[in-house]
Amino acid sequence: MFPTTQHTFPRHSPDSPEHKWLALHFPTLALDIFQSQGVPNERVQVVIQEQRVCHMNEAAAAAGILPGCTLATAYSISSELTYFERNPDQEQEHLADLAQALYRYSSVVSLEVPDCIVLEIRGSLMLLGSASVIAQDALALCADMNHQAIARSAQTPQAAIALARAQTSRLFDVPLHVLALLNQGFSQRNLERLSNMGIYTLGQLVQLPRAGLGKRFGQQLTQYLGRLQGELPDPRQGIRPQTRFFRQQHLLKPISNKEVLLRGPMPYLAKQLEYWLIAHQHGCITLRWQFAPFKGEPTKLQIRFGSGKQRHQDILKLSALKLEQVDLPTEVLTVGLDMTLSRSWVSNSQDLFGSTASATMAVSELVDELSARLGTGACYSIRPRAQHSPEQAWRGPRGIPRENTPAIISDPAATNSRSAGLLPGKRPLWLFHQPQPVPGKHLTLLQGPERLSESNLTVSSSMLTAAPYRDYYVARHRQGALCWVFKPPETTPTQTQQGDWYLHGYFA
Amino acid sequence: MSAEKTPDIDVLAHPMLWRGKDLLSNTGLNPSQHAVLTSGYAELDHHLLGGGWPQQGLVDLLLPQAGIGELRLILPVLQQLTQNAYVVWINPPFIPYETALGACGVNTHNILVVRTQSHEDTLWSTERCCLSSGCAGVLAWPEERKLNIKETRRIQLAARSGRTLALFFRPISAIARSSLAELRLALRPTHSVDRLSLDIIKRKGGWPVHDIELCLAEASQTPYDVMQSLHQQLALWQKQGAHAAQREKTTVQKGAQEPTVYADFAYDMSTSEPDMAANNSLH
Repeated sequence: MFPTTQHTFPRHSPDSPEHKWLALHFPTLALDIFQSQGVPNERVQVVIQEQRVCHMNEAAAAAGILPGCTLATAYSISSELTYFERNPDQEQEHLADLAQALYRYSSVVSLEVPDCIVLEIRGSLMLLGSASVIAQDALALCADMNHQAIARSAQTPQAAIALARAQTSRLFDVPLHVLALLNQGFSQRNLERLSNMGIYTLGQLVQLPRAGLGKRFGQQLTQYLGRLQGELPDPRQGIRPQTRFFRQQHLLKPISNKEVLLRGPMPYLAKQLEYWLIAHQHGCITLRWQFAPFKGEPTKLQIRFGSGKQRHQDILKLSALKLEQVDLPTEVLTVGLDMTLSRSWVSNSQDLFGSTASATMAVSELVDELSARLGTGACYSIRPRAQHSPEQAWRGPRGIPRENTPAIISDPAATNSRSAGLLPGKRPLWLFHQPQPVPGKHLTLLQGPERLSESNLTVSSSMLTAAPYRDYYVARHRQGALCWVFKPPETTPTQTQQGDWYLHGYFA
Repeated sequence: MSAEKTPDIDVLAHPMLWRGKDLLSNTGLNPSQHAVLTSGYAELDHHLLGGGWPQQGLVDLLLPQAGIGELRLILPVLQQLTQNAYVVWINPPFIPYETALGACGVNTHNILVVRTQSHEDTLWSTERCCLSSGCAGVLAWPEERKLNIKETRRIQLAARSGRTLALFFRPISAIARSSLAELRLALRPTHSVDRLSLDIIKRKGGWPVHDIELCLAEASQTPYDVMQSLHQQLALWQKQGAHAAQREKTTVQKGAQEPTVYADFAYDMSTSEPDMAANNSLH
């Protein structure tokens, strides 16, 4: 019999400042990874490993299936059973994804394979409040990603993990020393030997002398107890945040309906992107969806935002508009989301009195939506361009002009007469893309001429080529419109065939 | 016994009696529902409810053809709307010329042009723009053959809820078709290019009004217009200076005018050609 020593756990109130670590335990990770692939949770589902049931959902437990039973037994209990082969690699991928999402709460996020994530929260307490607030937020985030978790905080990472793995139903207020040794990662052989000695809880275990324990059970156990109590250092290697966001979702069943895609896998991926963007304090500018069939090339969908976006609702709204325009493979089996460009996040708060800045924000979203449905280039602003002929000097770049960009006055008449100290002549409000021939008998000339004689005043139309100048007149059409017409120089060869005059705009 | 006197009460003036023309007197109305933008034309303001264009809701403008002065009519409204918010032009028949709009005092940075391929897209874009908080005005040229009354209702509701002024430019033939717009105006050219004749076909708080004549120059003054007299004087001096040289040019061909600036004249041309192609391109 070991002599009792004074190894006890210090007791703390749940939110005491010493709670520096938060552990998240995912007891149903093996099953959750399949549910995020679009399998409904209502039906009886089990995960098998080596032909025996290792995890099951609530419906299966209610039907009476027990862990450890064979697949045949499970089938005999419930014939509507769905079973999945356990996939440890995919579990680790999901755990890493979760850790990436949890990076928003702490700079030290460490994986504890196979089913735990530990966060150092001491540095985040000031920002986010208390450990319980962080725990609730983290649990909500995990639930959003279709994972059930148990969160516990403690002053050492190992203690937090032990509390989380113990799967007690009460939050925070379970003392460490009453925890059972089950589920704590002890080998089956050690568990049996300890129970033969009458040791069932961690409290009993830490009271045993370390030297003797080390001799009988190996240094690993004593080191574990040392880390558990904070006597030994427990440096944790934090994950590195990914510099690029690319996630794929492999579906168990192919999807051929866009609506189903918009309800299932796309929101899941968009939410992951949102978490990634928040953690990195970035706003998404361009992203690419990929919809891949079983065999063949994936369909790609490029989406562009005028300003950085973080919320998954914004991302999905544009994606849905864009998705309507494309044809997808008949059966989509993999959905991928690749963020191709992001910018540092600038928070946009709507101001109180609806100024131009907030209008620009709202319009930037509007332009995104219009461009997504109507195609890029369907929505543009009108800005002068450095072109000499009026019909080429009107169209600006796509989207909204920046406030600080100076407008370039490029109207040749404007520059001409400005240099001569004169104001520009009267310009029509409606301008034609191409000057239209108009019979002179329909026109009554009112003002003019005004000569635009800048070089390069050319029109791509075959009727008018390389005219050195144009004499513009204001004229009234016999139907009542006030027109901007010009007469090409006499040298134009086709003049006699097409009529004397060209209509170039209306003073509407 | 004294004869029983009937009290002299004007029944029509009773405060409990609501009459349509009360709308004009701004009493008993929710003022926010009838915020107006001055049209810039005193005579038109006089006929419109509240003294101007409605700040929210759908307005139909019916034109026999493009270019008769429809933009000059709405220029004062555009000037006001583009100050703090955006105005979207959906499927305009021609290019809105930035230089000219800017000269008229419109903030062209706040103008967006949208091109759509189908009627559904046009209506969808119009509705989205009406609902957006960044847009104060939407100018749309919908496809007349496909436009029905339900759609005007929908745009009207969207414009009201988004507090946006939506303008539909439609051909004059739509005068016979019902529309749920707040206000419907039919425009007609007059003999003078500076004047526009319009009929109010439908308005709130009043009967239709016909034959209102507006002087378009009243509200669409550009720096050019202001300076025109100076230009003419300058042109006169230039003419006098160039008089001698002009006489030497005996080979001036018929119809080619010397490019002196803005000499006012008017004459009829006479060549035989089919009708104006561009003029029919609106509808």
